[in-house]
Amino acid sequence: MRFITGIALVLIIGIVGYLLYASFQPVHEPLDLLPLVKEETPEVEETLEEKPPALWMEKAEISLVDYRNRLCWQLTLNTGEREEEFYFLQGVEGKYFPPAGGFFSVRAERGRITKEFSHLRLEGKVVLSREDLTIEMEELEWEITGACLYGKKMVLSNKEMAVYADRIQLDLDLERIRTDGTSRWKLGGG
Amino acid sequence: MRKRYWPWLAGMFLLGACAGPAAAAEASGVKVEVIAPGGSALDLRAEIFHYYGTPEEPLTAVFFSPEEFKVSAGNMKYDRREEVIFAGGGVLLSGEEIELQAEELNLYLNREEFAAGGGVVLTAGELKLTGWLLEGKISGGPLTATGEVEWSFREFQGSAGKLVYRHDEEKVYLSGNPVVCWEQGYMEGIEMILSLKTGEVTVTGPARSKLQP
Repeated sequence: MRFITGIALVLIIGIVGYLLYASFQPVHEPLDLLPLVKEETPEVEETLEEKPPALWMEKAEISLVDYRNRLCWQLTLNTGEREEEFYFLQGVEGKYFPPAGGFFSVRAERGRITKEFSHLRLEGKVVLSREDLTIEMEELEWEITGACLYGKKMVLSNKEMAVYADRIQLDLDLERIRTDGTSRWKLGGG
Repeated sequence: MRKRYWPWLAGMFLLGACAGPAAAAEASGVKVEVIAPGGSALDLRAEIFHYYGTPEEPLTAVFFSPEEFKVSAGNMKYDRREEVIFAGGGVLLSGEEIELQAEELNLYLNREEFAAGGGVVLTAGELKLTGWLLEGKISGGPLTATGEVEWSFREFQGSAGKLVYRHDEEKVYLSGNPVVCWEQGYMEGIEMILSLKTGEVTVTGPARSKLQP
């Protein structure tokens, strides 16, 4: 009798011990790949929504200087956004300062500047204008160490002439213009 | 009664001030359209323009004043201040009644004159001439060819040291040992006048002629 009671006691203690051990173990659920994917998607969206762009500017003013630290461009941006290597600009207005003095008014639909502020490209309808001269282009490029500005699809006009060219190269004073490829010139006669 | 001179003086001064720029604008009234397939360059400060053609396609410049004419060339330089155009690399000038081929051509727009050199070929109606240099007025006026001039008109052909073509008179004046040849003979003289209207040749001075029946 004592033997049977002993065995029963050992069994009860074993069962209670196992139950206690099992209750403290972490729960293992079956792995289901599809639900996992579904669950991750909202997490990513949440991350994008929560994380603002690295730099977002509105009505900001940017000044660009050349390698001699001479002020070349003073631009006001409607909006500007930094993405990896570039600042993307929208609604650009401002001034371009040639080395010889004075300034040209600048307007462009959009543009971009490298993050080091060493290269500017204006795009869309780009207009450089002074009292005596207006230069319209589809694209204009400037480099911090460059001796020229490069443009595409140019129309230069003043009261005495109109010039149409596909690719142009302008000196920094916008006084010497070189065209590549076909150009068309109308001189005189208003 | 004391006369008032100052209103007259002021009026004259204003008149002069207005007349100056107007005259200047009139003087530089050239109107031209250029198509340069091989590129171009402009110096706005110096007002000098360079235009280039390509080996396949020359540049073309169409002038609308004082006369309408077209110039095709390998390259062209326009000095706007001096109102001078230099064209080179094989030039073809074509106007309403003339066609001129030359190696180079200078147009002096202020004076409305031109000079073509490097060997020229001029075709004006039935008159055709070749020489080394051709000078003249852009809008009418006499054209003067010099340097081993050879010419032909209808059944005549000849040579001369100097040929002056007067479009208004419809005559060609030949000098410098002029010679005229035709099918039956030839004639030499000191000066000759060829009438483009009648086809007659008038020889002045001592003449030497050979006629073959």
